[in-house]
Amino acid sequence: MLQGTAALETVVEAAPHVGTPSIEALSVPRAELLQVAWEVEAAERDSMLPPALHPVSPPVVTFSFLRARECAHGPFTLAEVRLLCRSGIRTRGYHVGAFVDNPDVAQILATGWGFRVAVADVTMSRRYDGATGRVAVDGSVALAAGHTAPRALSPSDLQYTSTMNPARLDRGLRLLQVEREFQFASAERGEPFLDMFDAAACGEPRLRPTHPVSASSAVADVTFKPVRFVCRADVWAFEGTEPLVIPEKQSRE
Amino acid sequence: MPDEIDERGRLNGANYHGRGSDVKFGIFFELSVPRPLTRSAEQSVYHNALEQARLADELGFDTVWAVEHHFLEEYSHCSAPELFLTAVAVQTERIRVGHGAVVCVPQMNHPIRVAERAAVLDILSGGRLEFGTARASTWTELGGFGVDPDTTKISWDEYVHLLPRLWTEERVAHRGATVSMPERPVLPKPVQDPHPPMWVTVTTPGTELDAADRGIGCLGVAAASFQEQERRTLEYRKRVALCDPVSSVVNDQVATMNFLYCHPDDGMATAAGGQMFNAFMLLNGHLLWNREVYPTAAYQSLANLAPAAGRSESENPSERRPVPDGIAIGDPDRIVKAIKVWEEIGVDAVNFVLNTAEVIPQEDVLSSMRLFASEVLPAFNSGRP
Repeated sequence: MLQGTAALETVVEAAPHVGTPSIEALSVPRAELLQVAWEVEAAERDSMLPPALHPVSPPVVTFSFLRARECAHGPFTLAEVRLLCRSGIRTRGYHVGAFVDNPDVAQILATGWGFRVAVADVTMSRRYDGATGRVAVDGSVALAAGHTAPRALSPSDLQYTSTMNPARLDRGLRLLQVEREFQFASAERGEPFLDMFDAAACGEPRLRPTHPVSASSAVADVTFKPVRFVCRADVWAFEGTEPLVIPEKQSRE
Repeated sequence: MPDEIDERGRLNGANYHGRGSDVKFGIFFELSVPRPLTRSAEQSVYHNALEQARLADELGFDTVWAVEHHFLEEYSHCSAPELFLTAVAVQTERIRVGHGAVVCVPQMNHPIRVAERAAVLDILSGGRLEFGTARASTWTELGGFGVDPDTTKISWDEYVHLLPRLWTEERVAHRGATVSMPERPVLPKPVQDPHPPMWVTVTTPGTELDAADRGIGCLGVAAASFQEQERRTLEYRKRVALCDPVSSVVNDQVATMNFLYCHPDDGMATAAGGQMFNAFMLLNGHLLWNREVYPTAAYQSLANLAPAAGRSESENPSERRPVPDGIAIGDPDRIVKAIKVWEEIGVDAVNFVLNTAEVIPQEDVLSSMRLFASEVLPAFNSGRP
């Protein structure tokens, strides 16, 4: 069985500090979503994941965009890069890096859910001929991906997975399981494209895209749920999972 | 109007690769290899499996099944099952050999080659072939062969209708959605007349209905609970009685997958067998299922990884997959009781995984098989040696 081999000290260096993982949900009604999946070179697959997580074969990254036109903290567009993996036997994406165009939201995502997030120029558009997401940092494009030729899917055909975000908690380095609930209103799949990927700017210079997998876009009510589980980064999830007690009011949401 | 249905819920007048009164027992090979993945480790797994197949033949097991998988490191190194099963056939005398199952997509197996290989295997085994069909469900395999996941149900359906023609008609021409061919004689023909019994592997709920509608056997390849298997079996029986069969012969059997570790000490059996079960589920859970990365109506399930509806606790990554009921791990008494329930549910065959990634030493696997044959088989056996 494969396991990540990343040195924990390098994981810690890049992880944000989270005093208390979020106990409140963040709701985004009618969010527009885009996810592009791409195979990457396998050679350094294991060394990009902490020992708690298990690689999949072939290794696949997802480039995800979320455009929130309405949100309690103001409109924002979020871009994330994740490396697919397993926590125990659960399907997960390991958080590599993120960008958002709203500093308030950046603060909330970093301190509540452990997003390694930078403020940048992030855009996402869905059109009848496709969808495009783009990240520019200091005027340079770090990520541009999307799809053409959309075909309608049933919303039930989509299933986006949860994310493991490394974060420095008071109890030490932990992986926060970031769960999002999606109530899909519409969904499409199209021909994926990846026009630009600056791996170093996105948080992991060893990610080398090799082969397209898929791209989908959707409209959904998205809820970032309170953090229920954190995992030690050094042992597998069967041993290192620590459930968090969520106040009853939030847990019912 | 359908034909008349007999007291066993079968169409009168149809031919059957039929159900017998005894539950049948098979062994089921994924050929999983422990890390480090050395050439000698692979060879050892193959040689151990052949030894288990020879012993199964001697002990009175009914079938040896072998999967077809590609690129699935550790989980399954069984990429050329027709060759492995040929070796099984020539090293055994009576046990049936089960292609479980051939992936029915053109990029991986052209239907003409499938028909040819199966016929040769039926000849070399003396008419002992069971023929399973499947369509693959991991991105690792589908992506590796450049298969469009949207098309695999279509190609599978086309294959199961075309293959009986290739085995029975002197010359066949075909124009289809995923394959076409001008008129040719496909050679040789199988020993079994009109052709070997056909099956489809069932992991996703609903595939049993595809099997029933076509008069094909239901080959369970994911461990199901008693309740789930009973529901599937009942649905299958209802539908197969009114099937539109893909050939002149109906296979109306239901087989379920199980795990076997039989030991006189129930506690030791549970410890070692549980280790095997957990290893299997872990490797299975680490596969990259198509649905996870390629959304499509053709793959509706995240297989065993999908959280059960309404069970928020299933997002807990520390939870292992629970051991379903009816697993044949324990002392002989426990295993007899479990299989009696399968029998009552109406399952025709139980196929056992004997090991995973060699976590159980080969001598212990062979001892488990011998104990099963001496203490468990007689409770279900009216005619075996």
